[in-house]
Amino acid sequence: MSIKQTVLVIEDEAVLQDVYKLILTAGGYDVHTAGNGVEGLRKIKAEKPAIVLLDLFMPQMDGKELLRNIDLSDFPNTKVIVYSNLSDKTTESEVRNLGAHDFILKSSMTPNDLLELVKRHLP
Amino acid sequence: MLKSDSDKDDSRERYQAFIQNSSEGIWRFELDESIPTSLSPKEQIKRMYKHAYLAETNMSTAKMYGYRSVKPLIGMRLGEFLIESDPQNREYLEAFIASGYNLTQVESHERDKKGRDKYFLNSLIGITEGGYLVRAWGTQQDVTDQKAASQALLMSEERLNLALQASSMGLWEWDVATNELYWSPELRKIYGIGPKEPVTFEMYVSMIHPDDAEHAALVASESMKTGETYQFEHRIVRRDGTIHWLLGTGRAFLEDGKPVRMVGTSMNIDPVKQAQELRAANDELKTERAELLALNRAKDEFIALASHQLRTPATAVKQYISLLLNEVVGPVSDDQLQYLQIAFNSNERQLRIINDLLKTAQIDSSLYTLRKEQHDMVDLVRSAIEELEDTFDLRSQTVEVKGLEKAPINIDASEMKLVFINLLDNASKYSYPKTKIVISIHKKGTKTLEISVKDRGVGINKQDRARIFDKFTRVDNDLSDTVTGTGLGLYWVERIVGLHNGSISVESERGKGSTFNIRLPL
Repeated sequence: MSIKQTVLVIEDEAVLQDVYKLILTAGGYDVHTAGNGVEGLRKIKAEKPAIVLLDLFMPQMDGKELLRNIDLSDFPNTKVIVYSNLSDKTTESEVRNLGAHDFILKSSMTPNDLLELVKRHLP
Repeated sequence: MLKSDSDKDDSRERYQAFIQNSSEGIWRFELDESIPTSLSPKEQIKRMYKHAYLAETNMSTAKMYGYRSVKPLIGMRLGEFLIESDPQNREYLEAFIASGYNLTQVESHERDKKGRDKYFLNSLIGITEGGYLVRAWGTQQDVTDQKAASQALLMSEERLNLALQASSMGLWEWDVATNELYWSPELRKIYGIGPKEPVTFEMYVSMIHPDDAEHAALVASESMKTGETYQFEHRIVRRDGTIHWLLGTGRAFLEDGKPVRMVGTSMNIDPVKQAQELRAANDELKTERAELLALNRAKDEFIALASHQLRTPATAVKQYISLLLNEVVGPVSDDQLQYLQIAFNSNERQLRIINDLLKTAQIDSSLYTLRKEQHDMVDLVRSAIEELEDTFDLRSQTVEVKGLEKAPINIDASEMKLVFINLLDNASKYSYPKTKIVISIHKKGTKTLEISVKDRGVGINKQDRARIFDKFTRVDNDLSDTVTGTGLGLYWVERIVGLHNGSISVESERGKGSTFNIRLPL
């Protein structure tokens, strides 16, 4: 039995998926990954992670689409952080309205920022 | 007249028969009182109306006035036939007097039994005895129907003229054999030809626009073969060089298959053509506008996508170098650390440039809108200062906020914060260490809030002041070598202030510092 908190990284860019997994694992989390929205949605439902890092631009099902296909009130112990390299205000307010708990510009974060972000959203 | 005693009865019978059988109206007026011919025509006419009565007439006359027999007419006064108030009748009687009481074929305006207008053509002779008019004989023809017909014709001609004038339609007629050409006054106006100037067919042809001449010749010659009516739009070139659009119609009249005469009309249709051209131009503009909007949207989408795509690899570089710098994968030597830091900084700079370009594209976009809410300007300025704390600490600079303690205003806070971050960052960058930056917030009148950012830095040359708000402008000065940037900051500042219906100005002196003044409507 693991007592580690689970973080699900939904990210289609392999280099980023790898590095985020590396950083978060080093930070002491149990890291799961998904390469698109469809896989991500399935894993949220199956694994009920504490934190979801959700990218927006993805094949098959993008981040917004995923949020539209899930009722987050069914997962009270899961926090969804949208992180993207899209930075306009319209997108931000859109994903917040869809239930995202936070919105971060991906390129602005250092590894430490990422760890702090995740920590901030944990109970 | 016929007063011979012996033949009296016989001649009287023949006379009566002649009168009664005549299809013309025949009549005799007598006077109760003879009228001296020496009187003025006016007085004579007055007396005629007063004293003349119908003494004798025939059946034709009775019918003309709507009677079935002669009897009721006998004894009727002149005024009961001839309308006294009608000037035409006055002229008629004046002419009778002037002619020496002998007049032929003069029209009178009268009324029949039922009050209907009647027109008669009269021939009459007056009998004078010793300087007195005593009676008058006359005949009359009923011309009421002809009169009505000719009046109708007159009316229709007038209507045609009116219609032609109203529609500005010109009329022409060409006698092919004699080459005589008639142009109506309106047509001359259309072609810009004087009312008395002679016109020829050649002149007409020469004024047709060269591009339309072939077509004109074709339709005309076709009509001259077939006698059918043609209609076509063409341009003319007036002698003053102006070009006008006309709608021309025409038709040739043939005799034994040969044209003898041609008639036609021309109408100026410049307004119609102008409206058509305007409509076409308008449609074109609409299309262009739609295309521009689509292009603008496409541009915005492209920039958003491009920035996203550029950021992604830079994000990966940032993460991996960070891991190395943090020695997550093992110890790093000091030299290696230094080089990694340079690579990291370079990557950061690249990310900043991407951000700046994206920001510029957003601000330039036609779809860009402010999200205004009530905010305290003093709070906003303080939070901008806080954000730049490290910058000021680095140069040991201090910042002072003066003026109002609270300044509520309706603004887009995140955009306005960007304005002050840029102004304060510039103030710090272009000032020497240990200097002071002063921000004052004041009301100017009741409707304007003025915020000024004053530094004691290197200042801006007069010739550079005008272009510092332009895109990608970087000004050379004593400190510019140490300052990095894309030259977009002040461009955003001016744009954002402008979008808030405000204005920005700068006062500066080389070596003494600069003051940026922002005025925003309250």
